[in-house]
Order: sequence, then structure tokens, then C-alpha cells
Amino acid sequence: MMKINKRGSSNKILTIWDFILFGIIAIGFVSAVFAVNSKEVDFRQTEAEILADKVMGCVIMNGEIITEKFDKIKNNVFDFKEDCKIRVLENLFAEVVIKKDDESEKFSYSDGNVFIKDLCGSDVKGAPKCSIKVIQVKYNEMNYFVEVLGGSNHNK
Amino acid sequence: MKGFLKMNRKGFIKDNIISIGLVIIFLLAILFFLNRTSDFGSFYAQAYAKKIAMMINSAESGMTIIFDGTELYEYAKERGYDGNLVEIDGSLVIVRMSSKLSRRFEFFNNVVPIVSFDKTTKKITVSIT
Repeated sequence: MMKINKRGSSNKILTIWDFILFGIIAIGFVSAVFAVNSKEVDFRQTEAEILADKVMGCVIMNGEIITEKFDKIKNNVFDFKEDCKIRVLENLFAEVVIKKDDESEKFSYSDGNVFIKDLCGSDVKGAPKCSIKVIQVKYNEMNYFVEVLGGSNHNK
Repeated sequence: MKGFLKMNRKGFIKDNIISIGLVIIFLLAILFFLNRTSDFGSFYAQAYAKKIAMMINSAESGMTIIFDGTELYEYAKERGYDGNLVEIDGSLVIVRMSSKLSRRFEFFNNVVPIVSFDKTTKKITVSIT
């Protein structure tokens, strides 16, 4: 039915170039559709912000460090799930650092995927999203800093 | 000679009609493919699952969050799906657009949420216990 064009022939239905053009158009459409359908809605930055807020709200109340939580962090018995109602999933990272303003005392607790922390702020494509929050608070009449890092690479 | 030209013109018109026909078939095939595949249902299901998970993450015990789910309802309706649009399975939010199409997303807040969808008001209600 289809006759391929031969040089000098007057019978021209579809040339090989037409087939190539159709092929390119078809590939273009198929790849555009797959690109749109496989697109992920990225909530990682929002999730990192919420995580950091949750951790901050868990160790600080009314501008002061909660003594019970601070003691647990000091004694290394703090647990995000038990103390903050946060399940740090495998593609999340959370860290809280409490230090005196002169850095003579520094305690920290973290949980989750440490690679997320390492890649925070990286320009690499698909790098995790992070949120860092620092608050100065009073504890026993002394100035302390509470630093919280929330990181997320949770996209699926 | 006259007969030959007549036959050649006839052949030329016939070939062109076939060419145009083939191009139309190709375009119709592309339109059919786009109609079958360019479905944003999966995208919407995913967006809703993540949105609900973020709301649960930021919520505190005792809170109730109500938000609009009209788009979700319309997409499910288009597919003739009448089942549960949103449900919670442990720490997973599951959004269904049809019996086959569903997307899920895990929340980190260690709470027990109850999610419901009101088909009259098209509102999604998330209650945190």
C-alpha cells in the first residue's frame, strides 16, 4: 500500500523522511507525557520546616528550655518518638543542639539519616531540603542557644 | 499521450489522498494516546496525600483541620469512583482516585488521625486524637 519514494519516481505516498519525522513527533509526545506523569510534588522543604518547628517546640516552652527534656539530652536518654511524638523516618533527619553562649557546655541529640545532614545546602540535583532554626533562651539565669536542624529527602 | 497524462494526474491525486489519510491517522493516534495517558489524576492524588500528611505533621492532639477537596472529588467522580477518597493506614495517608489509582505518603507526627470526606460539602476533615 505504501510506496517508498524512489529518486525520479512520480509515485510519492510517504518517504522515509516522513516516517522519521512521524517517529520524532511520536517520541516527543510520549516523553512529554511520561515527564508530566512522573513529576513529584515536592514538599520536602515544608516537611523540613515542620520537623524543625516540632523539635524546637518540644524542647522550648515560653522562651525557656524545658528542664526535663534538657536533662534527658544531657544524659543521652532523649528520644524523639517518646519525648516529642516524632517518628524520624528513614528519609528524615532531626538534630537538636543546646549550648551555652560561651560554648563551655554543649549537648546534642540527633536521629535519622545522617547523609541528609551531610548534603544540607548542597547544590546537587535532588539534594535533601533542610531547615535550621536557632533561638537564644534563658536557662538557670544563663544564656543558651538552641539550634535545631530538620532535614527531609522524603518525596515518595 | 493525453491518456498517459490523465492517468498520471489521477495517480497523483490518489497518492496525495493516501498521504493525507496517513497523516490524519497518525494525528488521531497521537490524540488517542494523549487522551489515554495525559491524566493528572495521579499527580492530584499525590499532591493531596502529601498535603494531608503535612497537615497531620504540623497538627497537635485535639486539633481538627477542615479543608476543600472539590478537585479530588471531581477527579474521582470522572472515573466513576464512589469509594473512600481518603483513608489512614497506620502512619500512611492514602488518597484514592479510583479502585486502581491511589497514592500514599507517610507522616512523621506520632499521633492517631481520623480522616473523613464529606461528599455533600466536598470537605476533608482531619481530626487528631
